[in-house]
Amino acid sequence: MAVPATSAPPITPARAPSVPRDLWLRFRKNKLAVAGAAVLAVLVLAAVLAPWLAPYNPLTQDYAVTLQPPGGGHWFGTDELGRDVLSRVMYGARSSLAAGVISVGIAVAVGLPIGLISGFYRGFWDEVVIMRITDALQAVPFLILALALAAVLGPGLGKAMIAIGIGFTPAVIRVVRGQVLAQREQDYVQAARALGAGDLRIMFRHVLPNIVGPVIVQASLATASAIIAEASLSYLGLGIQPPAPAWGSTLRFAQGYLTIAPWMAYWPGIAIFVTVMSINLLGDGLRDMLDPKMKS
Amino acid sequence: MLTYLVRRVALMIPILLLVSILAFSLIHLVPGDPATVILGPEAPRETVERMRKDLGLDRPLPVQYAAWLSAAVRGNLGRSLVDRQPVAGLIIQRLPATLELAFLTFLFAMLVAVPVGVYTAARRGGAADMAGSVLALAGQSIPSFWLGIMLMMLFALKLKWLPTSGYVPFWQSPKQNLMVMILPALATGAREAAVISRYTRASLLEVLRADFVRTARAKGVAEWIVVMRHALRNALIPVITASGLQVAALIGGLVITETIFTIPGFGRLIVDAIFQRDIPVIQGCVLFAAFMVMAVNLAVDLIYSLVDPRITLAGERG
Repeated sequence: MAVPATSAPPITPARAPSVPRDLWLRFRKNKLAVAGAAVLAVLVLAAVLAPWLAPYNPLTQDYAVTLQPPGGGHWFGTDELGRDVLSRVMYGARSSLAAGVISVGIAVAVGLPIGLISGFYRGFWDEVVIMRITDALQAVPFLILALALAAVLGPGLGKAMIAIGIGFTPAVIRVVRGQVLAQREQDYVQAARALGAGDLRIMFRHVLPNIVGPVIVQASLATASAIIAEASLSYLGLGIQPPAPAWGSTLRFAQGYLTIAPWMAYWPGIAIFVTVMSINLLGDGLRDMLDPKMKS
Repeated sequence: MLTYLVRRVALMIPILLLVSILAFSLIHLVPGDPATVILGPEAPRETVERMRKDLGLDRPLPVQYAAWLSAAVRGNLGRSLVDRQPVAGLIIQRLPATLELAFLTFLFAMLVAVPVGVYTAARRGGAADMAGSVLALAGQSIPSFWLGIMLMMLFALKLKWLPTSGYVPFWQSPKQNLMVMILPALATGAREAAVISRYTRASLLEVLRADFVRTARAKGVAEWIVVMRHALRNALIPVITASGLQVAALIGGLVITETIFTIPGFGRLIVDAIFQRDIPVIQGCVLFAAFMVMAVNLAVDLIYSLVDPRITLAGERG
């Protein structure tokens, strides 16, 4: 028997958006976060392309144009040695962004496995050893810890990044451990265990993907703080050493010329502010996207 | 309350012990021989040996630590390598300026943060709320040392309303002291104000959803009375805790501000010690800073229990 044709359209199941698309849709709703991401992208591009985009070599001194105000051939003016401030700010972005990303990378590389193992196994090592060490590290104000470490390790960008990375590690351990403690009692962990999965497999294949969101959020916000910390160390003379261009150290030298060449102090500070603000906006957006529970 | 206090102080001891190990280890993190690094590679051999002996580096590590710790417990944090002054004395000498600056910073932060937090919470979702949120985020993003330099440029160098430096203790000249302290307090307080205003807003929004607020509104109480009299009092309680947790960040911020405005405080002491590689002073400052942070956190917990009768401290009978 032939089935009569109907005029109703064929029913097709509604396609659920894929996970990345769903996340993107959530992120896109936060206009400030999108703006932050866009500004950050421009800053990263400017830093990466500095050798091609910067109008001058940031180290070249030209005593014929010392302390020139912004305008003409030097959009951001020149410093006391006739170096182009715009070029130094663009090159400074490279070290500042690298310092932010690498120092937080160090903190995550050290803190993530410790927090994961600590929260997963708990017991003596977790509660008595690791948590008390993180308590102790967190009791020392972050900048004082970073300063003390930078003092004993000596000045330099690499050492500043290590010092800042160590300073951020306890916070990463705490966030990861807290997330793992919440996840380890979930049914999927019990199910994986029942299926014969070993501890390492459960930790890295099952638990880790479920805690990665809050870790990314924490890392992005920590990157903003790390950039300020690196600029602070450079300002004090413990980060990148002159004549290499860095936002913090440029501000230190600018302080001696505030009355006659204030532009030397404007631009590096504005660069730090815009970078940190864009990362904070992006971090807020990532939090709303990846971990809506954390939203206040 | 007393039981809780004793327990909390007891819990502080192992953490302070760990901080002491960290502070003590600083000298051993110096690459190479610390005495040579401190004195420079050109220093005569006898001077290096004398420095090694002064620092106790000629003794086994556990003995060095035990001696250092036992002296530290008695308040002896060693002597500065630069001027041979006792480290504890140097810290005490520098503390009043830092405590005053911390107080002024916190006062400024609260005076700005609470009204902004209340206003943005009361106008949730509106233009004022959006502007307040962006301003708070900007406040958190602005480097305090740059803000300090900009304020110095505007108010001290251009308008000549305030001095750039010239700290005098409050008891010597209250007026001059406050004139010098205004700019550093504003520079450090901007970030604190931003953070606390976000806490205030979040906390107030939470309280505004509570049943007692709905009841007050249902009774016809004017909205500003609901917010200011009923909700704000409750909303400020968690803000106290959150503000207390800011102390560690605040102390870090003061290190930079004191350097910019040449205020002879605790932060400046650390920075000077770092450049002089005065390891005993750095060790003492790290230990003291941790002690200060823990003491403030304890005080905040106690205040929290006093202002909120619902909180029963662990160890107390409900």
